[in-house]
Amino acid sequence: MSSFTSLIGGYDISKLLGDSLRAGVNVQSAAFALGAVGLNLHYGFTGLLNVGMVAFMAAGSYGMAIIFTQGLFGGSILLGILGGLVFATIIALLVGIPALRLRSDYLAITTIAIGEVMRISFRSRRLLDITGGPFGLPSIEDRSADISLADRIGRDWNPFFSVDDPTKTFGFWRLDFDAKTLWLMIIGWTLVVLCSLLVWKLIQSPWGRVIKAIREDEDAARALGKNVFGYKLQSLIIGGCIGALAGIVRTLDSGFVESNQFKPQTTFFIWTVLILGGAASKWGPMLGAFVFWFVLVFVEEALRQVIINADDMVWMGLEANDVGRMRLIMMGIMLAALMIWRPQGILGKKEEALLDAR
Amino acid sequence: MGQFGHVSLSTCTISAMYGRGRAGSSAVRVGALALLTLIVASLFVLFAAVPNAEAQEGSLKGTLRLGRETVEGAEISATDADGNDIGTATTDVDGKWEIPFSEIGTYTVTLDAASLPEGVGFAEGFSESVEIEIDEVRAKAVAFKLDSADVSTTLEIDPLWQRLLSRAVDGVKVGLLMALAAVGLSLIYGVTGLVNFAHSEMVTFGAVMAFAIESLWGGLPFWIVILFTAVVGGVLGFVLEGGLFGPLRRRKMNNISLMIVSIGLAFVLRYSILLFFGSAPQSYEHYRIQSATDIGPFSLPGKDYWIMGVSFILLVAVGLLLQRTKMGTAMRAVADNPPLSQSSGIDVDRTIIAVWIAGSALAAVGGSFLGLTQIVEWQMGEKVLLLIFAAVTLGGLGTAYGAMVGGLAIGFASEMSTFWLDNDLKFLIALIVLILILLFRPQGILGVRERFG
Amino acid sequence: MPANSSESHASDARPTARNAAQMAVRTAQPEPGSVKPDAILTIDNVSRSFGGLKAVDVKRLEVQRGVITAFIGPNGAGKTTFFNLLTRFDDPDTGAWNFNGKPMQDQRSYAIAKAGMVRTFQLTKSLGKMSVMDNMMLGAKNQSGESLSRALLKGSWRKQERRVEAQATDLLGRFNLAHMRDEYAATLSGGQRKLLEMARALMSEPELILLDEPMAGVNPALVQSLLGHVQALRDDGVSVLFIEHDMDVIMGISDWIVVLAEGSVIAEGTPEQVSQNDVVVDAYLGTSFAGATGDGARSSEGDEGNQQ
Ligand SMILES: Nc1ncnc2c1ncn2[C@@H]1O[C@H](COP(=O)(O)OP(=O)(O)OP(=O)(O)O)[C@@H](O)[C@H]1O
Ligand SMILES: [Mg+2]
Repeated sequence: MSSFTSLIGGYDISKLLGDSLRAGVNVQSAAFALGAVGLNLHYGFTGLLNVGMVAFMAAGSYGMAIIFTQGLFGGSILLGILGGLVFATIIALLVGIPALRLRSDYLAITTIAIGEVMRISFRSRRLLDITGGPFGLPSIEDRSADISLADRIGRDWNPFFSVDDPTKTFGFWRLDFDAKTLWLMIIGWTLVVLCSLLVWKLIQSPWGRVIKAIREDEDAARALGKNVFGYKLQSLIIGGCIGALAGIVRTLDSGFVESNQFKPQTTFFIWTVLILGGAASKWGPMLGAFVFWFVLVFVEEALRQVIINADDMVWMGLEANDVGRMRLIMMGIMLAALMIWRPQGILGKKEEALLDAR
Repeated sequence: MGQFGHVSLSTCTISAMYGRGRAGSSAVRVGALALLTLIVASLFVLFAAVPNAEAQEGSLKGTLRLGRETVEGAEISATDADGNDIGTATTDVDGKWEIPFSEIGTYTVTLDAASLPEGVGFAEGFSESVEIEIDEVRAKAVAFKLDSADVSTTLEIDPLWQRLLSRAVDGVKVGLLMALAAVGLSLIYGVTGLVNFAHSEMVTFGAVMAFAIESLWGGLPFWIVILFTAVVGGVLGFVLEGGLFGPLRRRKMNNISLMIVSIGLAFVLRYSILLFFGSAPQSYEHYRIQSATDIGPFSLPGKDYWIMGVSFILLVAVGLLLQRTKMGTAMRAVADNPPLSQSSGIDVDRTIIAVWIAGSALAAVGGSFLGLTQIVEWQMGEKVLLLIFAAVTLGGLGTAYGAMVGGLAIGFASEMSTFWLDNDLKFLIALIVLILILLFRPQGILGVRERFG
Repeated sequence: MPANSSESHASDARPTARNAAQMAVRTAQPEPGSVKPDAILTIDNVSRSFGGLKAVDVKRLEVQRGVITAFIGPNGAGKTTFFNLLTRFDDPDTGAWNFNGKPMQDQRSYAIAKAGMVRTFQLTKSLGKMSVMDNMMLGAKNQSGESLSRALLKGSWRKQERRVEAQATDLLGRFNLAHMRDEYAATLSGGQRKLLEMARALMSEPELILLDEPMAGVNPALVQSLLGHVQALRDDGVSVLFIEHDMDVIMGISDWIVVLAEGSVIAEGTPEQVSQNDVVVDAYLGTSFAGATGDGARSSEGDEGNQQ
């Protein structure tokens, strides 16, 4: 299959499609899907305006990485993950207790603030020994026990890894992955499915009925004796922990944490994933992540190829290194446009979106 | 970059949109897309004309000084983490040197001691090599500390009160700028209920526009630059409300959805600016360095007096406009109770447009001032977003005077905090203020208790 | 609404035999702040100002258990604000009140509802993107599946869920909404939303229900049957406090009337006593009403109120 290439006049269609597909199913995409599942509980079902999902991801990533590098629990990944979730819960409480009693705008302001403050604080030199300051934790390893996170997840605990052939890859065409990536993809997408189902089951229960009622009109829920603040806090924590898992999956994949991984644009990607897939739907986040990454890489790669093939490698004034910026502009337009013309996304219910306008 | 080919891109996008637009679909659709294109196009036009706004690479740079003298002819070299040379430089008459680089990483910068003038060596605790971590491709200052046998380099440290005073003055200045930026955000929230996440990009937009005109026609009197900034800021506000948010609101889109639209818009604006302006920070050519002027105990560059003076006058003017003019009264009335003011004969839509224009113009002017005191870069709005939000919440979401007071307070507090704390921690201060205010007085200092029903 | 229908329901609704609570309340003094034989709610010094305007300033008020108490007053008298305060959707400047002997002024609104004092809103709050059935089922109290720890254990709440659903179906039938049960609540008409909101509040089996203009916008035939429900509620022992502008409705079913004007209680009494009260006639009912009481004639102000 590796001979499957098709060059049409300098354009590499195989690379275009292959890379896009690859991005759609890769670990990164699973991480964004997870983030969107958490955000779906927040925004799609509870109506919470969390515009700082990245804070929860950072809590998960840094929580796990710090516990691991400090050798706090003998380099255990699972305890590291648990630590990340606890950290995310603390963040949820810190944000939720002041902001959830108030109008939804205040949560938006507070969440974006905490995301930025966490990022800026983590890169502070004062935290050099813990978070690695501006350098981050380039390789997450427990020096005392001499184990690294990457080895742990990529070798020791990886059923696909074989010592005889450590570079063995799985798959075909441009969709072949090394043992670690494959393993993390399976873990990542399994988590996506499990969390989607968890959220869905919760939403189908009487608890979920209250949650949806809060989204619709929290005063009505209050008038019926529901402790709205408590429910919102629960939702914030659960969604936040799912967000932390997203960060954790991403960190397991990259093998390092660094504050720049947690810029606000990550939150905004997750929003786009959710709106694209369809807020308040069961599988919207999952589908949204796939489509999002596919489209993102497709457009980017196409643009790149067009530029490379153009005279002087300049196309309509764009050069190769403008492509990354164009993609953020396009994502911005995509989020706004979706919100305006297709707020229900791919899988959301159209009727529900229309009810807003009544 | 640099051709007018950009323009054709945007015009053909517009025509494509009109061509494809479904016959029955509302004008909003076309309007909104045309608007986004317009913004992008206007940036194209401006930046196509600005000569070499961007150095595509980052650079390590510095000015080598001995006491107050600069050192010429010293040789400096840089190597990357693997020990590969990435460049050398010799300091010029002004002691300046620069070595470009293109990738992030760790660099070692070395000053050749042999190339220094006789009798000059490194100050105590400083060696000839400096290791530097680069996490962003941009200009990065590298400092060497020199010492010599015959030049006394003992720094005269100002007495504590003097330093506190100068920090306080800085605090007032930043506070005034934050107030300028925050008023619009708060007023827009007041009259429409929208938390406009793109507001911080107005700040960047203003700074960048001021930079653009200033580098096109260098040496313009600064008040013309300010006027121009205010006008383009106002136009952007007008276009955003008239072409995007207004029509969407009339389609009964709720404020939560509009807020998400504004987040998308913020990204479009921010990265468009990055695309055209580039990632390298710039400063206004003609106002870069000014010698200090002493007035009483204050010793500030002349521009700082101007900035503070003009900001103060602008804020007072806003206050007077709100209090004394018909339009100002209308703004306050709409902010207070939109349906009621509608029924009492106020043209709500016109008032909202006016608020957008005024608010955006103020933010743009604030941005140009911010660029003047610090640097102009594509992320500057994003960086103050937090402070602006904290300011608006502190003062009371929706109140103009609250935003002013909040802006002053947050700007001042965050600037003062750097006296004792790391620079980065000023954002932490803002967050703490935000959380405390939400816990204990969510309506803000000047806000009224949230109403029910 | 046509005058003849209101005439007929006014006479139908008048109770033929009074129960003990109804008899008891008639013994209370017809004056503001009078003591009731068996008060479910006692209110002291509740006040709330908006800027310079004193919207509510109630010195003392007792609400009798097991009867229908009507709350009337001109537009802007402060009736809705008073409800908001009692249910803590708004914060009073001063005041204390006891519900079933328990102080409520420091409780949160949900806790007040949980305690058995449930309200509806003048501007209806239907949960638009939820089905009518879900709206109803939300109202039921003490649902174990509403706690997070049990939400995933379907077995632990399936039975209760079925019970709640049966109860909801029954109520929907009584409120003429059975055919809408699977529709989104947002698709209901204004009047239907009023009905849904009232039915939903009843799902929680309140001890005291506070209804803010429940009949506004509801068609006359249905008003008729609603009145029947309200009376049936009372007969089941539920205390009802309701705001209404329609004098026929008020005269028809209330056992006690409290008149509010400019934030203060200016009169209390049985329908007969209130309609003869000069202060009330001047402040609210207007002279045309005074002579016509009992004939089922309607005040013009009643109509205006219904527009809200
Ligand atoms: N949130 C608020 N802010 C300012 N004033 C208010 C507010 N709510 C109510 N008011 C004022 O308080 C007074 C009482 O209003 P309220 O809604 O309680 O009247 P009401 O008796 O329910 O009238 P209606 O019969 O028209 O419903 C009115 O003058 C109103 O303008
Ligand atoms: Mg009312």
